[in-house]
Amino acid sequence: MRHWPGDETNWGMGMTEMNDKHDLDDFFQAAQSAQAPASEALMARVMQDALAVQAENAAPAGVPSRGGRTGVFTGLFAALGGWPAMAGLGTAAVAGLWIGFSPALGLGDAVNTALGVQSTDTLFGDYATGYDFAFEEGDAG
Amino acid sequence: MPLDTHADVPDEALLTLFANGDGAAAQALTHRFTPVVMAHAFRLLGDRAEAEDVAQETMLRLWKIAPEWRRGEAKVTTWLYRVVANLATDRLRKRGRGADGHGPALDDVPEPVDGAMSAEERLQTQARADALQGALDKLPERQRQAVVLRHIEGLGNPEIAEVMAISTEAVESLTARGKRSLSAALAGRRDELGYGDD
Repeated sequence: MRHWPGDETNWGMGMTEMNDKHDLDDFFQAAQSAQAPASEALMARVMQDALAVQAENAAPAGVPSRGGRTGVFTGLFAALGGWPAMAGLGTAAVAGLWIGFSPALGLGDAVNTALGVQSTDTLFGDYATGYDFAFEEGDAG
Repeated sequence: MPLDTHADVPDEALLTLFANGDGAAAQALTHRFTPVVMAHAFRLLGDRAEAEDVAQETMLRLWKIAPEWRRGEAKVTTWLYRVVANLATDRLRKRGRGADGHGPALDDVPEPVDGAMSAEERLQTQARADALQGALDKLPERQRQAVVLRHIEGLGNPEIAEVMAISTEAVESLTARGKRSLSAALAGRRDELGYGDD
């Protein structure tokens, strides 16, 4: 014989006098036994969201994730820090080029001072004269 | 369905693992909380499709907040119940409460999960749960939420107060009024629901 808690206490009373706790306990118990289960489809959707959010969190900041744009250069670009870093590298490259083309002008005074030479014209002039001489000799030959 | 391989890992530790990109933690959290969130959403909404949408949105908010989760501030379940309640309230307001008054549709009736029950007992339990859900659907939102949290989800009054952002006295008042209304709504249905045939 099935037994539902609260039956004995309830049936001796008028409906309006029934104890709230006891008459509702039966229904609450039924509600706890009966559930609205999470379907497989819902579980799959939730899991898909979870992995998508994890992927978003893992993407480097400032680099929008765009499908199909992955490769060595894209990765290198991202690893170096994106466009701000590229601008800095460009500036450094131009500065290096300029320094590379004008070493003598910058070094001249310091070298001359160290060697005790009074005027840069002397040194520069000697080189220039020698160059002219060789050039003329080559022409003559 | 895969088992929760992190069954012994506390909720907050799982969230930290999730935030660090742990895929197994994502799976464990999904299996641990989605059924809880779904069941609560259904009890507040009485509609399976809407409850599924609310459950998915609630879990999405959990995924997004995981990296910023502050340990020790609130239980994960408390936070989830609150989000479910907020989202359910929005939906109830949009559709207009008490529009049909016929209880949940047949497809929405919850399914008993106790495998030890006979077919007859399962049907009877389902009918009782259905009757309760129909009566719950007619309660004011706050009363329904308080009653569900206290008497079906089994939370204590202090935790309910935290979920609903009210005092414990207010929780007691809401549950008392809610139960009085439920009792009145269900009193006349005990015979038809099998309480008188033993």
